[in-house]
Amino acid sequence: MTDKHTTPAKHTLSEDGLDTLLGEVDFLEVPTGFTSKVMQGIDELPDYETDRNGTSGAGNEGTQHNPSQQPEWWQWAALIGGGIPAFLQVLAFIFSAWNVASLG
Amino acid sequence: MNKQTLTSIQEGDKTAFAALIGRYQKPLFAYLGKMTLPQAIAEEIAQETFIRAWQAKESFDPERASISTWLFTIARRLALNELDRAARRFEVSDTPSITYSGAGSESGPQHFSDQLEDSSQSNPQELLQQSELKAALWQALRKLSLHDRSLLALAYLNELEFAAIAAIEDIPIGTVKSRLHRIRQQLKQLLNGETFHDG
Repeated sequence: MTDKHTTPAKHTLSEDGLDTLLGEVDFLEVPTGFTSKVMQGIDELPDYETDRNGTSGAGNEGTQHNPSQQPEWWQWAALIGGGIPAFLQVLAFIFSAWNVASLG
Repeated sequence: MNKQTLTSIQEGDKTAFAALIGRYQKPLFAYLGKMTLPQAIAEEIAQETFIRAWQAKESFDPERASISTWLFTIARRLALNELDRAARRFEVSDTPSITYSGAGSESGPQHFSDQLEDSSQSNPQELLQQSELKAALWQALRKLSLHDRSLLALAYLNELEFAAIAAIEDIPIGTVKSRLHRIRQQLKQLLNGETFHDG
């Protein structure tokens, strides 16, 4: 690997020299047209804002699903409509079990 | 970046966001460069940083963090993931030094002589010295651990206060200062060709 050969110490750096070097040296340059390239990337994103406005209007961070979305009224109705018969069925089972046991 | 611009961005104003990119692209590339990322990878990461910032613009709370803290937190995470992935790809398990192949190596030391600034204003001796120093710094930075490299790169951006660096790195301010002191000593030893002992 290239790590084996350390660059020979031709310059003895002082604290200030190191600060200057680190402060001034730039290894990369901003490519030409970088801003337009990013904006183009943003324009090509799926139109999540339209999707968001089309639903409940709850916040949605980019393309990520937001678990904090508020349930709709019909979801509550379905939960209650299904939950009550299920609860009654459990009660009926317990009652019948008790009934059989008490009859001997 | 004033409050009005920030509000415009959060409302979806792309022109205002383009202004934000213009404001932060140079420090972002400076940071990614000191992380020793090659130009092509750095460009991808910088682009991804701004795209993620745009996607999450509504969740940004200016009361909790500054825009620069927010952007550099995203960039740092992406850069560390990339360097970590590269390290595993090249099976560099113990050393923090990462070798990119192909186009990625273009930003390496051998090309620094082509990137010298103000070549018309300096004499050839100075240019050579500058080039060698830049190459040596590149090599020395690559010998630092990824987290140390990130901390050092953030500290020399001239953009961020210690508190902001601490928030980005998710460590206390005191730790930032002490780690920075240690990293600078390591880097100085590396650049001066002294024996370097990690830890």
